[in-house]
Amino acid sequence: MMGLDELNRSVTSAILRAESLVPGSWEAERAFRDVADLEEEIASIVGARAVEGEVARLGAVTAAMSAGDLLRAVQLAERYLIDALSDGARAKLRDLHVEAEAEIRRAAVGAPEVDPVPFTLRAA
Amino acid sequence: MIDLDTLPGLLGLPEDSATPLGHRAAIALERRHRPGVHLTGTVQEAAVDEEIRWRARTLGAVAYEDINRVTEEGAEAIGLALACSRCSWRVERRLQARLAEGADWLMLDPSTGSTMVLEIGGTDEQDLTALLARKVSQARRSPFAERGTPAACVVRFLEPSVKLWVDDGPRRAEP
Repeated sequence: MMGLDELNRSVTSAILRAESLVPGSWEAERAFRDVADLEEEIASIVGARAVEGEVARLGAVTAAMSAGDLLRAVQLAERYLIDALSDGARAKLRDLHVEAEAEIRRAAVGAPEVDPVPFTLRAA
Repeated sequence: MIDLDTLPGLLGLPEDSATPLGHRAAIALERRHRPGVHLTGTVQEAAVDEEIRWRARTLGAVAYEDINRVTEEGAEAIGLALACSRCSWRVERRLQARLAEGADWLMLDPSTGSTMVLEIGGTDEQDLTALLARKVSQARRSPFAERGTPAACVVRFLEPSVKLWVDDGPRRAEP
């Protein structure tokens, strides 16, 4: 398990790498998944009352969104909103939560319709 | 003196993070200057005059670089180098660009234990005072400005110059 200094160096490298890729590309989304993993790990060891903890919590949500993992972004935002964030960080986290939910709704509208097909399994 | 080719050691960052920043600073400077040029300006209101060295780049190394990226990341390299060498701050980490305006890097000031939320901007030839005013405004509005200390640094490459500002309390007016 990495210590905080190592995690900070790793997340810095991961962010610079992810942001150098074409936004929305498969490679960029994969790189942002790595960023989200590291941000979550930092958030798990740094309290929300420290600015480093605030950055990691909001960073995990942002990275999940950039990775196209909107459900994960919403779940993380809901988890972190009950933490002791400053007013400014909480307001930003609420904005991210609303943005992720809106993106999910937009994606659902554009998704192909799927009709349920009932079936029964029988033993051979 | 700042040597852009030894940036990883000065910033305490991995090669894959710091070397590209130093490379882009060298390209941004080399458009008009030669290694050994002097950077002048103010750091926390104190005058600075710093020699900047780098290994001369080949034309091939410059050809495929995006000019905006060169200016922005070159400014980050110089801003971080000055923050570490002149203010004795330590780089903690980078923040995601999508996360917020006004917050590019977290820095630690070991003398006070304060965490600085540093916004950095670069320009080739725009007015540095106006750019600093914009960056200070962004830094103060950052979501992390309540628990971190807002700071801003701007770099201009036409005649290399810098301004680094740190918020030291609500009594101070914006520059």
